Amino acid sequence: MVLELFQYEFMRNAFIAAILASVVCGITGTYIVIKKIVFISGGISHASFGGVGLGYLIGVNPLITAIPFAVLSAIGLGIINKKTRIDEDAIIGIIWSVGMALGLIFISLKQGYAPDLFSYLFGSILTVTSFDLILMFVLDVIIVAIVYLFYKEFLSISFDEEFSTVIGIPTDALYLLLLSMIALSIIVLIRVVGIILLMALLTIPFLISRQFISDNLRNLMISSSIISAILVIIGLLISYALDLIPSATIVLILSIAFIFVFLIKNSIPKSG
Amino acid sequence: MNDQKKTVLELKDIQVSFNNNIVLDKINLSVKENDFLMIIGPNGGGKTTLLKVILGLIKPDKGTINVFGKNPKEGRSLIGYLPQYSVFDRNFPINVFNVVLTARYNGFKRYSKEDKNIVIDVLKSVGMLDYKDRQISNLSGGELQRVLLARALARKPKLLLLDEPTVSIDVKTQISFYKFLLKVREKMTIIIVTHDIGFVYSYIDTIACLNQRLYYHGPKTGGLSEIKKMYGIPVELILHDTPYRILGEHK
Repeated sequence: MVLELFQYEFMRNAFIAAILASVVCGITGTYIVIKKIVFISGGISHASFGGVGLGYLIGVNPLITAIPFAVLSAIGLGIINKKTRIDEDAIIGIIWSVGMALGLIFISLKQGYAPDLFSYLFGSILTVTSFDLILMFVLDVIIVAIVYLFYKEFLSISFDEEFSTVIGIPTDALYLLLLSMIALSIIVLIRVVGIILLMALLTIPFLISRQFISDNLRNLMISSSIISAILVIIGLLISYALDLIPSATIVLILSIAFIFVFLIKNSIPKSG
Repeated sequence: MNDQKKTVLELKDIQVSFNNNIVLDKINLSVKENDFLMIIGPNGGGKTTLLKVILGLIKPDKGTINVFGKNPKEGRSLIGYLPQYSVFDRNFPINVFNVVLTARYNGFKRYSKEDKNIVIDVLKSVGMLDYKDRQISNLSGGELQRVLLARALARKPKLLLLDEPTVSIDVKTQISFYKFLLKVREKMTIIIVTHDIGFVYSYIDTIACLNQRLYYHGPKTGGLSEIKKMYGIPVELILHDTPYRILGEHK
């Protein structure tokens, strides 16, 4: 049955999108959870909706216009966070809503109905185009390259930012780079599960692999990516079989898998 | 004899305030090579702030700092720093070896074989080499403290700053911790800040008391009554190994 599905281009694209998305879920998701910046990431994600709206308005692929929105809100959040004494979560709340508001304004300025608005908010993995895939691939390559180059710096600032500053690591610049990388990762995920649901993909695969791996960031990234790919594809197949919305099904499958793994892992008495 | 030693650290008229509250005021401090200085003061007295000023993490409102004759941002490459242990996420996915290895950061290039050998050496010196593959949540408070000390030493520092190093560890471990410092002090200057004045050890040269202002006493028997003044309560100080009272009975 699965092989039959590959006859359809939309299904092939969906599978490729699932795998491209899983790369960032594993890599970026690991940093988001260990550095405890889940909510910053949520803020960046919602702020990127402003870019989606702008894309509609000026007739450009909304993913393209979402990139500067996401990156600029990430850098803005980072700078405000480091340079001012305003509470971080208050700023996140503001950027979160302002981005959404801008998006709505842009969309309302455009005459007529915005047909696939929902696909950016809640994802639409079955309508991913070849262009989307190329964009996702390029962003994946950039993200993998950043992590390859700055692995030891990111590890250090995630573990102990203050000590990292003391030993001469440019922590502020690297923090902004990390946030920008998160912004790019969010763009990769928008088509798959949408702005509103994507935080589940950035957190759950890591939390599952964290149940098995405790001491090696690289292995956590790789295993989180694999777990993500498997679960997203399972979710996709189930949604197809049961005629459910794919993004919501994927998120629910991820959550169920996490609860399942967590319960099993924590009900077995620890040895030694 | 002291005069021949080089000055490692010099603070002049340092003032720091947060939100218009003065945390440190008119701090003057001069520390020489191989000094062993203990700065004691109550919680909230500005101890950690003082260390952060020395490390260039906090910019003072007034005053000048010299670290090895340079400003803190340049001078701190010669500082080994042991932060208060509560700042850590014990569940962070990292093992002992890699915690210490982070200290060998030296720009963009990858860690070398030599860096890894230094890590092995310092872990051996603090007696934690057997634990090198352990995830840090599987360590006791004393073990983690030794790992963090190894991380500070892996910088090959000339000045070691320790922030409340014995707060989370039991008395027996504290004693071995101080004995270890006694060995290390031959190679570097050590500054300890703590509110824990239960133990003051005989090999500490100088004591300073910090509560917004710094009262620097030079030889340790000098002005211990200042401690009482600062804490506002009677304080008993006990010397290392053979406990006896330095101050008279408080009445």
